[in-house]
Amino acid sequence: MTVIVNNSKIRIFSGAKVGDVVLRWAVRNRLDISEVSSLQVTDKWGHILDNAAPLRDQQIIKIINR
Amino acid sequence: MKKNFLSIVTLVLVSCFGVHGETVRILSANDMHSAIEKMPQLAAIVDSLRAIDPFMLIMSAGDNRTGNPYNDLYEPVSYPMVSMMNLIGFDASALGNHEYDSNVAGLAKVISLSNFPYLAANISCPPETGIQVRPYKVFDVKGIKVGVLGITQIGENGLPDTHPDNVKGLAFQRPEEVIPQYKWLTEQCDVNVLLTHVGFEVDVELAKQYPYYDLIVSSHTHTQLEGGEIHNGVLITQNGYQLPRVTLTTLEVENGKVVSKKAENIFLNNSNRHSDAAEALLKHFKNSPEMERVVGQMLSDIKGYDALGVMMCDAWLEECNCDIAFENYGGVRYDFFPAGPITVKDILNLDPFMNNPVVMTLTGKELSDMLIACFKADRNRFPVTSGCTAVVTYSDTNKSSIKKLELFDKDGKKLNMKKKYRVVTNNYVASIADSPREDQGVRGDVTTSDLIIHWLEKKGAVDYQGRSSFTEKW
Repeated sequence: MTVIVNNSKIRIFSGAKVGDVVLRWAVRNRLDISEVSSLQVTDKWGHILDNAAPLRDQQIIKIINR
Repeated sequence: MKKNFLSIVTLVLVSCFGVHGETVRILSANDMHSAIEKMPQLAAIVDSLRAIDPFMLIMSAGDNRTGNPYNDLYEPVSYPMVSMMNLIGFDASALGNHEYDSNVAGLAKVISLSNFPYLAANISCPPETGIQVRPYKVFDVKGIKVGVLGITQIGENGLPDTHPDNVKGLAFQRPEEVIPQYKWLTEQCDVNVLLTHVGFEVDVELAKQYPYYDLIVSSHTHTQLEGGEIHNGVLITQNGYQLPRVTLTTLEVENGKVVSKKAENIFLNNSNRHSDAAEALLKHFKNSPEMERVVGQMLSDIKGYDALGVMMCDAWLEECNCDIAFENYGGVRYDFFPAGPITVKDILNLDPFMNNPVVMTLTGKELSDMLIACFKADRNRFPVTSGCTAVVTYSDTNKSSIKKLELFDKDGKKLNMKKKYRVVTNNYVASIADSPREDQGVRGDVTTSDLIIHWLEKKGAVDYQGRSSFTEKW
């Protein structure tokens, strides 16, 4: 499935959760895995999502470095 | 709106002694996901609020289970959560997609043990399933009729997000197909609530389509709202994952209509108060004999991460019917395992991350690229494999990069780079190994530790002394 992260598409396995996409995004942006805990994820309205939150195909999320 | 528990109790007291019409209070939780450790705090909060307002309703919007082996591996499954919810006095629960994780028989058992109804208008359960679900329930709160309609989650395939085998025999409808059928109920009730497990975005759409509901108690997306939000006049509440907070919704009702509504978060993490009864239950469940259950025997001492990693990968490979399995080196948490019995707790410590398997179809080349990507993302440690072995040549003694990678199948022949293989790894590796591949795969529902437990139960005894899956050169 595809998730839209900060206006860029990330293709990832079906059933991926927020934490999976954050890891993929972090690796793609050359962040160390240890830095992942400082990232905050929100939905398109700006509500905070946790790493275990489910995602659906074409969902829009935003990742910000706190 | 962030308020501490005492200030909320004060507000509830003030509203109790200064009412026009009646006040209906609903305390709601969502996506508790087996958070049994939080239940003594929740029980204390409920005790205090109910002392002030004995008519307060308590609801869960579903996904009460899945997320803690002390609950999910208990027999009967999920009994710890159900017991705690019974003790606290929940009035109703929606059916989350994870309620189906222990299949139809497991869900029927959970429901039979619950002292509260499960509400879902968009599910049909034939009698032979033994599942008893109501579409709605009307509560009488000081003479006010509170109608609660339940909606369960379904994905694009028309089924809840669980393994399709778990919902065999059940039929589901889309929320928009059934909600209009219950408009008559909203006309008979003073307060109308949708108790849903469909996700915040879908709930916003439901609020647009069905503005005659006063409140949507939302769930599924673990959305952290600051109290609640009004969309098209409908108050929507949802509150994170595994009980960081619960939501107290207050509805003022005059002449059979809701005239004001608000929702506030109550933080469980800030509460030092615990219910003694719930604490005693928690202690009982944390001493579960299931954790000490012997699932297999280790025939000789195992030293080193490699051998235990190979054992884990063998289990995933066989349980997922794959050709090849691999795991990041850092995912193996023991470097020594003594000969003797292997318990459930041992496996949960060996593979403690509650990861799930991801099964993909990869060419030999895609697999090779993925193994190298995993090496890079896992601090330059080559992954452990099953179904193939590797000879890794590094660029230098510091293992800064891989100069050459040769893969061999189980017969010792070079892996065909064009042939497609069914490959399993865990979701962590499938996320960090960012290499080009056509098939990204599918994340399974069981945990990788459950796969190992099930495999060991079948094997009985295993011996992995001295086993390794790769040779290193530089």
